[in-house]
Amino acid sequence: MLIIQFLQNMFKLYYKDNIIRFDQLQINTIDYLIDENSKENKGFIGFFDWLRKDERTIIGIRTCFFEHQEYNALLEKFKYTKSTYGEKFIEILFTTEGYNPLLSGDQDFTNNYVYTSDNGDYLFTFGLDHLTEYELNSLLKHCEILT
Amino acid sequence: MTGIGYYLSAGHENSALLAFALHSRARNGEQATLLRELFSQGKTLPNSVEGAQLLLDNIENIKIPAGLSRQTLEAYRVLISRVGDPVGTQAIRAKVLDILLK
Repeated sequence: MLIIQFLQNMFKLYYKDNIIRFDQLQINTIDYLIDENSKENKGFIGFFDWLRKDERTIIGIRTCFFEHQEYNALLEKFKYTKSTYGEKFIEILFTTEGYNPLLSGDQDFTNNYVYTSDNGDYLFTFGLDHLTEYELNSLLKHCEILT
Repeated sequence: MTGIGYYLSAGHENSALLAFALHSRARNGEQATLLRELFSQGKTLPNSVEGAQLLLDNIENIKIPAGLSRQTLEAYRVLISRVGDPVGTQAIRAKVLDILLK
């Protein structure tokens, strides 16, 4: 599972192989509780695209939440996110490189949960089981591994 | 109207999402896995628009994975008509599903 931590002025990427306590995640001693909406929808709150530089290298992600969801408005307020395609989607790039749009059309859709902390920070999770070994390794270069 | 047809009818978009989620996540997400298996058939670039187009071009040789239900295909088809499609992947998948659901 990829976990993106959305902080006020920066984001961080984490990788966690197995989530034991589903309703709660802890990062650096901060507890995050699962958002009821994403829980009710069983992690299916839209689609997402891995943004690839080439066939083996992931350098970002694009979220495509269902239009009635409020997550776009939540994420677009951060300076490091980018609204695209008429503000329907949100892109987060992990590097300064550009991506190839023709290689970035997964429209994947599993394990997309949202967690919030008491101080208003957010975690978004994304399932990784669709990725190849090469893609996963390219992504892990940007992640802190959580045990 | 009963079952998933009710959930997919006009005015029940949220319910449709939930119905699809429940259905696709049943049995440890088997339906979601099978959907991916369907969309991955015959692709040289499995996550690209080109890959989706190859699937459509090769539709005569596509097999629906065993266990992937018609309800799941129908639900997915309805959902993708209600979401954005940044690079056109879902539009091509819609054509694939329209053929498979005939």
